[in-house]
Amino acid sequence: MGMLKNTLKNLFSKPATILYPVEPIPPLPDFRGQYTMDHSKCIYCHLCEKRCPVGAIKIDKEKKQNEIYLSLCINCGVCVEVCPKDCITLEEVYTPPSYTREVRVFHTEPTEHQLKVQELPHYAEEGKLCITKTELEAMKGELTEHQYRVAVLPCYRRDKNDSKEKKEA
Amino acid sequence: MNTIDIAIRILLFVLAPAFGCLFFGIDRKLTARMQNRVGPPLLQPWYDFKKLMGKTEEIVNHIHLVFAFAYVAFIMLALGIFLMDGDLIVICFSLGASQVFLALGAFSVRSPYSHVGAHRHLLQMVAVEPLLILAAVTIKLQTGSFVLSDIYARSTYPFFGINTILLLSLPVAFFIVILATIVDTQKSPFDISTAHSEIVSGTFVEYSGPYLAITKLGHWFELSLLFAFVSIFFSSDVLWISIAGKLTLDFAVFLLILVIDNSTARLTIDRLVKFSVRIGLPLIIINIVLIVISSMGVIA
Amino acid sequence: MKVVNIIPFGPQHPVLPEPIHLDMQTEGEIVTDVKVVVGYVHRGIEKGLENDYEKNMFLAEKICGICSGVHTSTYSMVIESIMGVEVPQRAELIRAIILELERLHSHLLIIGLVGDAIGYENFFMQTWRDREIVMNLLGTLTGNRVHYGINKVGGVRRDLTDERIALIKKAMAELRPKIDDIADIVYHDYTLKKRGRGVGVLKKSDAIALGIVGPNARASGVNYDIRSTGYGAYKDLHFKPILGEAGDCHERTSVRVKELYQSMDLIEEALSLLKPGEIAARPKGFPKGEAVARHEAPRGELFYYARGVGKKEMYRVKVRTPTYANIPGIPPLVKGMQIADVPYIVVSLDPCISCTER
Ligand code: SF4
Ligand code: SF4
Repeated sequence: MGMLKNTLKNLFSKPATILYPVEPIPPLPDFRGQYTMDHSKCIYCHLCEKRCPVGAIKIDKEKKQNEIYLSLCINCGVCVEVCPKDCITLEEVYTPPSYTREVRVFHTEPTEHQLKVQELPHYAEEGKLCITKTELEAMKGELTEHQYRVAVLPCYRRDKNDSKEKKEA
Repeated sequence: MNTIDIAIRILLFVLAPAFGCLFFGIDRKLTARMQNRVGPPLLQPWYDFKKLMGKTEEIVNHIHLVFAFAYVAFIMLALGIFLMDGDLIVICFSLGASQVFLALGAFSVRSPYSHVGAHRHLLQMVAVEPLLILAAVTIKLQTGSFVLSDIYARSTYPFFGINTILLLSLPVAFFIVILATIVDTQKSPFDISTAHSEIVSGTFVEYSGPYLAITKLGHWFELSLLFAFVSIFFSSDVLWISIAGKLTLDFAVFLLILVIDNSTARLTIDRLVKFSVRIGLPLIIINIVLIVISSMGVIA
Repeated sequence: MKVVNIIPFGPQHPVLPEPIHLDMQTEGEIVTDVKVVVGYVHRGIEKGLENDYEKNMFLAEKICGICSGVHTSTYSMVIESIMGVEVPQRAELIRAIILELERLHSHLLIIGLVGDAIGYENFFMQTWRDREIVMNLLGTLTGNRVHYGINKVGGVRRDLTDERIALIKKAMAELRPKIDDIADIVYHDYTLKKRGRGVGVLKKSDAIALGIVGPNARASGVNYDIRSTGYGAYKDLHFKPILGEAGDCHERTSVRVKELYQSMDLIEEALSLLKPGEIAARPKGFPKGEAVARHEAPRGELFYYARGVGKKEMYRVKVRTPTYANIPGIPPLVKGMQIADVPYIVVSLDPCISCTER
């Protein structure tokens, strides 16, 4: 009988579900989400690279370039804890699903490609240096053919490496 | 019957699957709401149907398909007879025949799930079909005929000036028809032959693509037929009261079924058989006896 | 002629979308014999655990998606006893709170799946909706809904601030009436009782002989709850193991419902014991030596053995999960039952293949 009551109650109350992905899921407070870093503070100590349990971070001191393999990262937050300069944060947003193995590159001196990315709508004001393929696909409509081609290149890089590895194997 | 009348009947026949489809859509939406979910769009069954039609044909064997078509054909036959105000018994039997074909189709393949489903389907038929026929018998005893047109004409039982409502004189038969509807639409607690969490849709498990869509079409016809059956229990001389009453009755039964579906777990096949033998059968027999006695009293 | 049908259950099956396979020999609707096959998704986690002892924490967590917290707790406990780290009381209490929250959501999950197994979709939806409260709470407390990453060797990584304690209290207050509702349905619903009573009866002697653990054993009256040994914070918490009698499917579900209340009480007690202090001790050196640790996971006894040789990498870590111990319970219970009862029996034993196979 308890269920009968609930059935009728549910019928006249607001549904508990949301229409994901049309409606986004509100992120939880204090949630460990997508990796991002303030590259200018990094002192290339390699601590995060060493302590990351899955090896998702590559720090390149020479090129002054940090890479994060988003598809490997398990959002554990160890890198945030160990970083002496607090460069890394895990934003309170869910890492978006993607078809490719995305890699984000953080650079001190923006490369030509990244300058191009900065010119893209949405990214100019935020000063972001790199975007992921999913983000790029999402705004494909707004870009010119040229902008798209320039922006898309490094986002595919990891895939290329993968296929190279496969061929060698 | 004049030409317009016949045209309307044919139109109804053509629209029957649309009604069925819509009913399933409302079903899914309301079920979702009862479970506190948003639920799919109203026309989801139609989208599913369209998508299934576009899939590649994978068949197990030809006999399997023949049975599927026979199932749909017999359902359509039953509905046709109904719409032409035919004989209730014939309708019951062709409904039964369609179910047998469904079971045979399930037996014609080698999938064990399909076989278990078919066994259950036959058992459930054995449990429900006699009750349905006995319900038809009570209707006949009450109105003196198996033929629908006569039933409509003769079911006079004055109630607020409206001529009749079989519902009031034959509550047990009505109850049985609801039971049959629950079983045939595969709702809890009697969604036994297609129990998805036990035997993965049982009888339908080996149909795929367009052929699954065909069985779905059959299902829509079946639903229309069942609700048409329910609507026998309300008729009136005045056309609009009759139509409004029939629709209200259908919708009430529909809601009732959904609420029951969402407030119960699935029972086992034994329980269905026991339920029908211990509760359904005695009830309907009592009803028949009562009718006979009262009619004798009238005669005397 | 005797017709014997073999009906497969899994590795793909709608009621248990997990790679376990039952070959059921049936006569009509009755199951006469059954063969259980596991081993579809062996991931070699024990080999993987021969790695940096700190990084291992995140691999141990990945053993199971439902009881991830208890895996890391047991793993930290085993490493801590090898290294002789004294875990601060506050950390122990926080661990206990997380573990009990985890038990809450795990039990709610399986109670809901029972509804799914017997075609009670509405009940399933309702329990899973209420489970979201616990999941979201865990997400806020620890930073993630599923893989909490709360433990580290020596303590916990996130403190329970006052704000978070208030959140827990609020969630518990919200959850209690909902659990009352679920309990009411489990105890009193006619169809649920009809399907569960007398189905899949596990006698006390059989439970002991087969080595069944956790709520399944307790439902048969075996007093076996590792929490009574008083590891971690449990030595300060008061509780009595919940025992059933009948040992049938319905009893197993009821025992889990009672444990929901127990967990909520334990959480409240642990919160009241919480005193300010350190939340983690720093381990020194590398693990050398061997140790075992046991925890009461939501599904029963979880056992870890570890051996270190004074290097950063562990030499060997052995995991014995409760679900693997419960698998032998399936064949004797399923035999002689109807096909329709098999999903309920299997689900009532609370299988979780990801931790069964590691
Ligand atoms: S969050 Fe964890 S997995 Fe991701 S980069 Fe940082 S340390 Fe590595
Ligand atoms: S730990 Fe921080 S400072 Fe060191 S390399 Fe990583 S990001 Fe840079």
